[in-house]
Formats: sequence, C-alpha cells, structure tokens
Amino acid sequence: MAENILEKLKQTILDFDEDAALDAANEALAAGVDPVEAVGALADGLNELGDKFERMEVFLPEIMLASDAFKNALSVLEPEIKKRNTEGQKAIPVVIGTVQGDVHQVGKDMVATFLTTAGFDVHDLGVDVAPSRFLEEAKKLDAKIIAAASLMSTTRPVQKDLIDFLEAKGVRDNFIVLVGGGVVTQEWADQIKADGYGQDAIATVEIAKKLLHVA
Amino acid sequence: MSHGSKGKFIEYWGRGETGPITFQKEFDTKVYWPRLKELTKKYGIEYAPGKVVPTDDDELDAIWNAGKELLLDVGILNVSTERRITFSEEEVDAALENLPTQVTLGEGQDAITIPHRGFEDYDSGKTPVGTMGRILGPISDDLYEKVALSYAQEPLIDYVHFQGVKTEINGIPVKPGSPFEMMAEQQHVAIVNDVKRRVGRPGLPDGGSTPVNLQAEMAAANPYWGVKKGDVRHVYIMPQLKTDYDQMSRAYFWHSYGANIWGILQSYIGGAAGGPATSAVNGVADLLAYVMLYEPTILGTWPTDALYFSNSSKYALYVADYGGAAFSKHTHFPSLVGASWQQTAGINSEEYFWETAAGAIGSATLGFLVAGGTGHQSAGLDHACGLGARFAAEVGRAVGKARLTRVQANELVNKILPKYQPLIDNRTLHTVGGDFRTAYDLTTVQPKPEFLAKYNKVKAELRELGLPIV
Repeated sequence: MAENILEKLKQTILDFDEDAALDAANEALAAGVDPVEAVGALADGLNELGDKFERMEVFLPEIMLASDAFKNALSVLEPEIKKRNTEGQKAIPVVIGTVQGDVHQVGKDMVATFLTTAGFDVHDLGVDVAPSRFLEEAKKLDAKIIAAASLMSTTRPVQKDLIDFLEAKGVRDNFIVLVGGGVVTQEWADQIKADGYGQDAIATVEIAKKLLHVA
Repeated sequence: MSHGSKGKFIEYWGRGETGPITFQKEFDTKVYWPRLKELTKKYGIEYAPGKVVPTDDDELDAIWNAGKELLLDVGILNVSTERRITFSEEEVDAALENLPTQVTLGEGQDAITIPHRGFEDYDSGKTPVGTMGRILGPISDDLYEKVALSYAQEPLIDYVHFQGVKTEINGIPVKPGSPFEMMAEQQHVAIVNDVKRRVGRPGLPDGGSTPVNLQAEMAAANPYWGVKKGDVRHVYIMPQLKTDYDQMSRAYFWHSYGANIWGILQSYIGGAAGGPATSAVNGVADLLAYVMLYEPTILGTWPTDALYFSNSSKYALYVADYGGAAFSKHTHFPSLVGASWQQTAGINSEEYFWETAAGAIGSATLGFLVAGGTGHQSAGLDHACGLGARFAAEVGRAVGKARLTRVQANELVNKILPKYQPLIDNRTLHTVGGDFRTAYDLTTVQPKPEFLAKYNKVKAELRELGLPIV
C-alpha cells in the first residue's frame, strides 16, 4: 500500500501534475505513510526529470510545472514532518538571480532548474536583482548559497559588487557565493573571490554539492 | 516605404494595455508551452539525426503553419504589463503581403541591397547574397580598433555587427544605466566610424547594438559623428515570444531616427522552446512577431542550445535552417542572415572554421546571407576576427560555384559535424583555440602564419569533401 502511494507521488512529479501531487500527498498522510519517505519519493521524481532534461526528453516549462507540483505536495507534508519532530532531510535553500542591470534569464533559469531537480530549495529572484536584494532574501530564507548570473561584460562587475556588499555588511562568510553566466570565467570568479564558478547548469550543481559536502 | 505593419504600431503596441492578463510563469507553462507541443504534434513535425539542411518542402510547410498558428493562438507577452498582444489572421496576412522584397543597409557606395532569394537559386545574383561579420563579447581597449579593422578591411564582408563590448572607461567599469555606458557607446561608435573611413568604406552598415540601456544607444545617435541612418540596431523578441516596453521604445526611437532594425529567430533549444522540432516552430513565430511588432529591416536566425551555449550544434543548425527556410518559403521578405552567427570554439582553432562552414553551407544553399567572425561562445575576451567572416563568404561562394542542391548540402554538413559536435556533447568546445593576440599580428593587423595554416588546412579538407573552395 505504502509503496503504491510512494510510486504515485513520484509519478505526479513525472506527470508535472500540481493537483495530483497535492492529492497524493494528502492520501499518503491519511494512509500513514512516513512524510519523510513521501518527500523522498517526490525528490526521486525530480532527480529522474533532471536526467531526462539533460537528455532533452523533458523541457524547462515541464520542470517548472514539476517544481510547482513538488511545492504543492510539500505544503502538506512539511507541517507533518515538523509536527512529528522527525529528522527529515531538509532541502538546502538557495537564492538565485541575474544581477542588477541584466535582464537575461535563460541561463539562470537553467541553473535554477538543475538545482531544483538536484534537491535544493531554490528561490528564484528573477532578473535585474540588486546586491541588497540578494542579501535581504538570503537572510530571510536562511539560504546557504547565493547564485548570481550575468550574461554581459557590462553587468559582470555587479557580481563583484555583490561580494563587496556582503563583505561590507560583515556577512560574507555566511554564504557560499556562486557566479556564472556567458561572460563569466574561473579567472573572474577567482579575481572577485567568489566561492565557485559554474560554466553551465550541470557544473553549477556539481560545484554547489562539492562546496556543501553533499552527495 | 510600404512595409509590413508600418503605421499600426500604436494600435498593436497598445494591445499590451488591454490584452488578456497572463502572468509570465503562466504564459510559459500553461499558455505557450502546451500549445507549442500540441501544434508540433498536430502538424507531425519531428526532428531526426541527420536533418540539418531541409530537403522536404512539406516539412517546411508544416513548420510554417504550426508557427503561424502558435502566434495567432498565444500572441506575444508584454512583460511590462503582463498582458498578451494578439493578432487576427487577417492582420498577419495583410502584414505579410505588405513586406518589402528588398532592403538596403548602409550608405552611399558601401550600401548593400538585399533581395529575397529562393532555395538553390544560383542565377538571380551572387552567392552568397551577402556576408555578415560579427563581433560580439568583451574586447580589450588596446585591441578594440584592431579587431574592428580586421573586419572592415575584408572586401567580402558586406555588413558588420561591430558589437565588441568595452568593459571599462578610465578603469571604471561600464555598468548599464551609468553615464559610463553612454561614454562607452560614444567611444565605440567613434572608433568604428574611424575604422570604416580609414578603409574607404564610410557607409559600411554597422549593426552593433552594444549598450544594455536605450539611453546609451541614444547618446550616440547623431548622423554627423555617430550612428548613421544606414546603420542597424537590435530590437529584441525575448525568449520565448515575449517583449516589453523597453523594446518598443527602442523600435520607436530608431524608426523615428530613420535607422534600420534587426531581429532574430531566437529559440533556446532544450530550454523554454523545448526540443529541436518545437524550437523550429517557435522560430517561425519569433520571426512573425517581429513582422507584426517591429518592422525589421533585416532578420536572421540565431537559435542556441540552452544548456551549452552553441549557435552551431546539430540542433541549432536544424532550427536555424528549418525555421528560417519555412519563413523564407512562405514570405517574400529579403534574405535572412543564416546560421552560426558565432562559433562555440575559440578563434585560432580548426573547429572555429568547421563550425563556420557548417553554418555557411546551409545558408548559401537556402538563399540566406552567411555569417561568422566571433568565437568562444561570444564570451571569451578578444575572441573575434575578420578572417572567420571572410571564410564564411568563401564557403558561400564555393556553394554557389558547385550549385549545391539541398540534399548535397545536407550530406556535406553531416560530414562536417563530427569535426566538432563531440566537443559540444562533452561541453568543452569553448576551451579550444586562442584569442586575437594569438591569431593576428598586432602591427600589421593580418592573420599570423600559424592561424592561416589552420584556415588553409580546413579549406583543403573541404576540397577533399567536394566543396570547390579557393
């Protein structure tokens, strides 16, 4: 019974079905399924979608829908996990955005998608994000990672502004800062003392996991 | 000139204030994407390995019909108001009927007139129809003029996007919206105009849209010392099928000024536009959106792989060639600028030339302009040079000389793809090659012998593959 429900939960993610995900989460709790296991099944679905995404079998809009389905199910499962005081594996919060002055979003969306499917709790701030907003949101969400994208040479310096801003506020060590985007290089990341650089979405997930020591 | 939807902009742009309210995420996931998938399926459009240059007209008709239906069904999202701008079929058909059959870019003796050209048409004028050189990405201050000169001095190049980005003014970073961005744009245009004069081509059309902010573009709009009326500037249909008031303001400004506008088919393959087949359909809708909203002088194909940025991958070439050909077959709009605007490999590599060739072969066969020049995903410092664009022109000429059929062109490109596609698959192609300093003699501004050796080696191999390139 429990196995069927877990499989059903995973399938709602693979079907990108927000309503079904909510229903399956409620059904899981009603049937006494461990909510931590239920979240694990949903995460399995996201992982599978991540692999399919890399093979161009599913696409960005579908991952966005699956991510909504995941959040829907989580809205039911998470309070139950807290109520039971269970030691669940909490997704690591990440804030991501394209830096101030830059409205390119495709690359940033790809990274956000891959981080989501890898199990991170991704908060996408959109484009044209000021350093102060990155910090404000990161503090609010207790984020471990701030990921800042820049596609253009002229907006790349804003990644340095972000790091300067964190240092000026005395909170630089509270966050792992990842940088990426079309014109960003490892040399630039080193120069501005970013913690990591992702050449593309897959590399960004790898570096995020490595820096956080997660599998 | 009677042109597309000219005169209708106030009405069409105004629909962004009254059209159906649709939030951006809702548009992406619940309006645009499901309809794109349905239409691609309805018309039986499928990508298969080996498809690069289209050989089947029925497939092009299907892509055209699906793309047009997509635009009619979902419209274009005005991100500034989160409302959709929609059109009736009669409005689209009227604009298409009213498109020009030829346009002129540039000024005086250096102007280029671009006609409409059909597939495999080697008798209506020279092949390729024209050659666009492109500089994109950051360029060092000390090389800025030399890189521009490397393009302007090439006689086979007709039109250049002098779009190298200046990163600093007196050591101060050039940030969007700052006065330094305005200064950088004035300096950029001055250098380009000086270089063009020096090679005796003062009217060579420049399509370099470098600034992020319109105010910086406007700062250099001066017919005496700045952007000329024969020059061309970019207006953006954002991925996918979105625009905003900033882009409308750009179009309004440049039309009022009297200059030209360029636009692009811009599917992000693997991203919001889905796989290659849906991306080709989206591409037609992109081009139609330009016709309806922005009255472009010239259009081009610029799809890219979303995960690993490439204009020249097997998928990007398919989308550029199929999407562009579908549009070209069903309109009398002047020739598009064809595939591979920028290469994935760094310049000073054989792969850079192979990518250029793969794009140019399809483009010349389909009656498009050929393009080239920039390398390293347009991201590496100083990765642009005129030799790449010259090579694109020479490949195009050889296609004309050989009078390649689309079937032959497709076979040839499929023999070229293995030269570089594996490095796209493992995401390392951008690491090969070297920058302008390694490729050009900085005193004479001519390619170094070792760079020319790579260029000549690829030419020799192309001859072995049957392309009569000289």
